[in-house]
Amino acid sequence: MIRYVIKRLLIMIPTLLAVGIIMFTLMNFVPGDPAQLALGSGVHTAAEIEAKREALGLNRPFIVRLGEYISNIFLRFDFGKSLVDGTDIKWELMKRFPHTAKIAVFSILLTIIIGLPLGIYTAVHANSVGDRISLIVTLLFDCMPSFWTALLLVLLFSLKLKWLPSSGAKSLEYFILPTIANSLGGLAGFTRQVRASMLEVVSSDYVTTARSKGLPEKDVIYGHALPNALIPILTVIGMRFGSMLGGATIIEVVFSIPGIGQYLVNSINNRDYNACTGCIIFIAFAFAIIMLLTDLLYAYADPRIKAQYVASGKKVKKNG
Amino acid sequence: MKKRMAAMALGISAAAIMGMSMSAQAAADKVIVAVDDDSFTIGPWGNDSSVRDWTENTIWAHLCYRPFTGAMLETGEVQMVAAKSVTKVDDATYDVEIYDNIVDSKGNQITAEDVVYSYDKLQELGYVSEISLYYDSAEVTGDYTLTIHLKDSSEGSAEAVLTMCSIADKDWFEGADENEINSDPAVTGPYKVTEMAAGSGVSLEAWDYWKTEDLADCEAQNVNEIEIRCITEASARSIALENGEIDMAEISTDDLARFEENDDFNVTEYLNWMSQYLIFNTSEGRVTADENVRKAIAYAFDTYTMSLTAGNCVMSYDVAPNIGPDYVEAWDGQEYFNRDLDKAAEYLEAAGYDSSNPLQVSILVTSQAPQQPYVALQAMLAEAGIQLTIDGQDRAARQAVQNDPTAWDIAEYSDSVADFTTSYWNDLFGAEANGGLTQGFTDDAKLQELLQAAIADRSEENMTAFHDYVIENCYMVGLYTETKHIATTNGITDIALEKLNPVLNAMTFADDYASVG
Repeated sequence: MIRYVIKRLLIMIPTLLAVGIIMFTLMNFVPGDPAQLALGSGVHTAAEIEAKREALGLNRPFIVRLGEYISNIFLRFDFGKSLVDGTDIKWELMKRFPHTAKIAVFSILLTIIIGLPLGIYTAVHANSVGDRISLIVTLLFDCMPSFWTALLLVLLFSLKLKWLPSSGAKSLEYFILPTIANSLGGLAGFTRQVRASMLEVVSSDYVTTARSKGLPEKDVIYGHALPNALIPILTVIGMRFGSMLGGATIIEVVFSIPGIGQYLVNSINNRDYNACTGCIIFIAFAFAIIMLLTDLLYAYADPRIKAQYVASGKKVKKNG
Repeated sequence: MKKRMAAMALGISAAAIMGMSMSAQAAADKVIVAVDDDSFTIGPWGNDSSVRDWTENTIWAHLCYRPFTGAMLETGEVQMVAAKSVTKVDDATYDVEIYDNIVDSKGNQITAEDVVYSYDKLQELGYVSEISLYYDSAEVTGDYTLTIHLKDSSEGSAEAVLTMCSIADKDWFEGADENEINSDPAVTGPYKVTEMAAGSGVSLEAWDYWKTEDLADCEAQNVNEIEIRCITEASARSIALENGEIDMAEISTDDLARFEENDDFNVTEYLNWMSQYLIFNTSEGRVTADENVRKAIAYAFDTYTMSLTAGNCVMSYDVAPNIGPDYVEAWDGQEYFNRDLDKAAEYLEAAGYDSSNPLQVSILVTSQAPQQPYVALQAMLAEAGIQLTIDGQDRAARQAVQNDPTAWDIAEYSDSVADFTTSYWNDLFGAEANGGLTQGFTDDAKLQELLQAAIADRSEENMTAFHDYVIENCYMVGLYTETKHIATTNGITDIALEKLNPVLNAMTFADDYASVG
């Protein structure tokens, strides 16, 4: 198992390296002069712009800048400085990540707490009135763009009822509306995924056998059916959580939450190559870690997968 | 009964407003302010941002403070902050004596060496174009005395240099890491930073400031705590105000009526100072190199129609907005490019265009800005038989494109009258300021000669000579200056505007004022 984890971590290195190279290259060819942006909106002479370009190291060959950037990230965990305001990108990412993480964790928890029982209920009671209502409601949520949902929530809970703050990230209270807005769309997809997985399982032979043995329905569903339906559910949770850690950009903008997503959008608008590339590598890293954890959870959810990991480890040992 | 306060700050001396504010009441407890920007730093030197614009003079001492546009040193209008006195040696040299008791919020003593370091550092970083343009060097002449040398001795340059550099302790700055500089800086202004959340906001608190007498307007401590929150969306700021989350915010024109008609809020209207104009690309090979084409376009539209979708605006009936103290009032009475389709047709014909061979031009605009004014312009030009293509580029791409003489025919720009009309003209037409040519790539020796003469003495004669020459050649068309609005809870009775930004520490609060926080 440990060997598998190490192998996966090693595979992450070329992945992140590729992400870094692609991002740096793409940003380099996007129109816009970072030197002018760094100098701000005033009128600047050609000499000033040239001096700034020199100071930022933009006059050096592309390959040299790329090499330096990549080696700084992977050898020193140094994402460099923002081209626009000179701040340390690692510092900015570390300051902003907790906000993004809070939204991601709360959103995924809300999705699981509501989506899992709802999906099970609709699978067990397939084609009932409850199933159909759930289908319609979740479809409705799925169709609502998150920025629109967010604005509706603000209008109702902040402006009309005055129960919750409309923007900011000062305390947990500020994350209630962003969490709901961020979850609703995903909740629909997740519920339907749980329903589909469970539907496949509840009609299988071993579930029929469990029922025929006289086990209570609760035990049949939660003891036999659910564990066997978990793999695709875990995949959906992992992917969604991973992408959420990259920043729920629209939610962060609407609720003025200073997270990774907002930082990424600002850095793209400002042609801040370093910040933008740093954000993407950070997001890729977060995503890769979450997917690794998801893979490990597979082993706990399904003993057959765990056995495969163990067997693969033994095989390598034997060959060695 | 509906209550509305709308003070138009059209060149009004903010000094008067702030003088009133400082004497009117005891310090309020707290004010929570929303700004429209979430990308900012609070160290002594950094790029433009709303947070910096609204707080730089509050947390960092500068040598001097300019309380209103056009305030001059020699008339005594410029106020001393860290400088105890400023003596003019010659047009390009100034001796400065600073107070000998300046300490920052971490107890470091500020000396002349720190001031020189601050100027040199800002020049090296290049964040403030006025410092890059006007500041040459400085030398320490004593513990608390220094001499500043200017590159440019034109009027207003000394004032710009003396008022635009934050002063910080050299040893602290060099020894501090990025985190400390941007979250717990050793400030020299009247407020220290108590909390800083990147992208989210910053909290300031009045501290035991080193100066107690002869305070400049920006050194007031009218409120004990200032909390600034970043709310980028205009609608979200309005909701936060209405929801009782903040005390003050800039609001959009769309939301204006909601606050003007609400007794719980005061609204202050003021000029944006960024004046819009169209400039023609006169480089060889462009259709707009032809004076007849430029005049045909200028006579084919009216700026008022363009401005209708931009909210309340002050029209520019001239090649400069009527803002600077050197603006010649007589220009307002002169004929400018009023819409006249017959004249437009005459100029088009002279340029060789007609309905079978329509004039086709492009206009470079910033895509993030509202596009309606340019759509209106497009429609008006179409009526005159001119086909206009709107080329919207995002801010970053535009900065690259606007310097390319082959990329556009007309460009929409905006610029502020920092002190004088001549400085505004210098930004547009000064060859030195624009790397050899004007913003419209115009290579015209006479234009430069007239501009330098106008800058040199700002006499009505020289100003008018340049002004008339620009109109005669139709190098640009002035459009309008938008107004902005700040809404506050009704306990804030005056926001102490200094040109573009409110001075948060010098606002006036009602006796019964209580922050929403």
